[in-house]
Amino acid sequence: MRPTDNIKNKIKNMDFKASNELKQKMLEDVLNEQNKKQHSTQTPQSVWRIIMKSNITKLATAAIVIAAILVGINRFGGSIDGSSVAWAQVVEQINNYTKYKYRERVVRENGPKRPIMDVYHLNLSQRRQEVENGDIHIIDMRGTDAITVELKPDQMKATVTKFIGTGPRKDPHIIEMVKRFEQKTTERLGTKEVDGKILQGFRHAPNARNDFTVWVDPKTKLPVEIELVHTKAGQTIFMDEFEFDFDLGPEAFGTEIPAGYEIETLIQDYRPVKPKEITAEDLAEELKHTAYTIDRLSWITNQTIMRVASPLGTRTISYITGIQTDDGNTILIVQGDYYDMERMVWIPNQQLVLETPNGAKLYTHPNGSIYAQRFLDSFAKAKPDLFNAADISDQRITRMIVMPNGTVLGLVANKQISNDRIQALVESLVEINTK
Amino acid sequence: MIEDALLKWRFRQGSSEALSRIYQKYVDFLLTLAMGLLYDNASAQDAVHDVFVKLAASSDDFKLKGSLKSYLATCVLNRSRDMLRASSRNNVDISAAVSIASDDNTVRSIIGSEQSENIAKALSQLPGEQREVIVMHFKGEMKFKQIARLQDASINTVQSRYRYGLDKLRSLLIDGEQK
Repeated sequence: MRPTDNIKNKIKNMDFKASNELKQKMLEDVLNEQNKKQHSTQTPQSVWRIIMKSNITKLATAAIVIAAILVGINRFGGSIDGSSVAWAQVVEQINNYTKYKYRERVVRENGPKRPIMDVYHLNLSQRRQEVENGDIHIIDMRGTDAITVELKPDQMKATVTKFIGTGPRKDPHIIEMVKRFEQKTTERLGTKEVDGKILQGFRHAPNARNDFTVWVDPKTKLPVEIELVHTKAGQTIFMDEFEFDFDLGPEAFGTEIPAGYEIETLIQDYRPVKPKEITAEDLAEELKHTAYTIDRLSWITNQTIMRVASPLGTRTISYITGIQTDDGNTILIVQGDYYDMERMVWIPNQQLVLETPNGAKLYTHPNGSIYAQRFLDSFAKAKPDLFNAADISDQRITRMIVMPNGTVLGLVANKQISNDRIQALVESLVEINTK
Repeated sequence: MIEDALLKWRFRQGSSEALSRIYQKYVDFLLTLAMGLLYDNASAQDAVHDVFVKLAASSDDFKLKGSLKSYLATCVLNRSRDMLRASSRNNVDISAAVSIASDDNTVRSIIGSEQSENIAKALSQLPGEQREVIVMHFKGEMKFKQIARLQDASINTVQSRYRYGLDKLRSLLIDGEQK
């Protein structure tokens, strides 16, 4: 074979595949986009998208972006101009302050626009963000569980998100940043005039992706403007209107919700979750909304309830009621705290498969095969003596059950299941009474 | 291709099943194209992700008469060009900020054989236009005429780029094997 033919064959045979996890994640995004397009409302369509699209998560993301950039500064760089006495004075001066405020503006080439906000750092683990639309965000990362509070004063609504098990965390600290600048390659930019003030500039470009400019007031020797250009992310963060030792007291950083606010609480659980067999009573106590179990049906040969980490990567808990049937099928009923029609607004747009006399409705799932695969796999890991992942069938299906009270349950069947049995199963769902 | 015609029709009607099927059918094909064009795991994922998300949002205006596969391949090519233009380098890796910031997007895995990695790496060292011709011809299954339209060049030019690209690839791969 000629070398050229060999190369042509190699190119033709070049083949890359997405991992199953990646495939699933991308498909979820794609279907969510389609759902979003089809709905006039901007309400997200599924639990994990709700979490990621919430403003509070966006603000957390913004903080992480800054954190990452600052980490980037720490990671890269060379030597500084040793004659930069002014810079050393800046470091010395800024070291005198532990709290500071700045205005943050983020300019992105792509993606959603980020609002302008004033960011107040009380310490390394507590900050307050006042957004241009009047919203207030409080972030407290001191405890084992980080807490974020999003207040919407105009609507009197508050969203509290608890990040359980994150452990104490610290914000990126501007003082640490400038300390490291002192050790790195920093270019002096000369001066510029802003609002009648002459500012001294410094530039630090540790790599092709990051470019930092700091403008300092030579009189106070404190930063006046910081510009972080992150080329790969297509994003520039501007920080200005710095205030050191601002007047806000610790109460402005409290996570208590003011009286009169309607409160929504979201949980993101970062603790490792070990699968555990639980009772119906446990399930009812742990779920925030109505919990269901299945009344005995003659064709059910085995039934168990497992508490597992959500296999959908939502950092939530899923409760799987696993059923074995006399015809060799494995059926799962999935419940979770976010399984309700306020969240899963996409369900009514799916195909209605069944409606029971008591008003329960059964719908298709747009991504049912993958959903079923995930939960069957999770169940197999949690309860290997009842189900083997190698037995996951190509016939697997997912249906979403909407109960008359709006509670949603997922129904996964490993193999085809007759309409009679599905109907019997849905009709056999009964609320768990803990009394 | 009858299936594709049906998928296009159902997708236009807003069917999520059709979109899922289109995705499942072409995602690996498009990732391979993107890896050939970008040789960066994260960027390739971003390119394909962006193409499908844009497709998902376009059902109302989607009026494709030609091949769905070629259309998607062209979209990936255009997105890859945009990404390369946005970067001063061709061999880009995702920045720390993006990977950390995208907390829900930490799933980043494209699987390829060592030989596929070697080919993609060698392709990344070709001039962009030569790389495009070779990737779109061999992996995108496009004819030189189609590529000429995409590159706004004559067929002769495209064929020259193809020959030069193959020659360079050969020397790159032989050098690589000798090392």
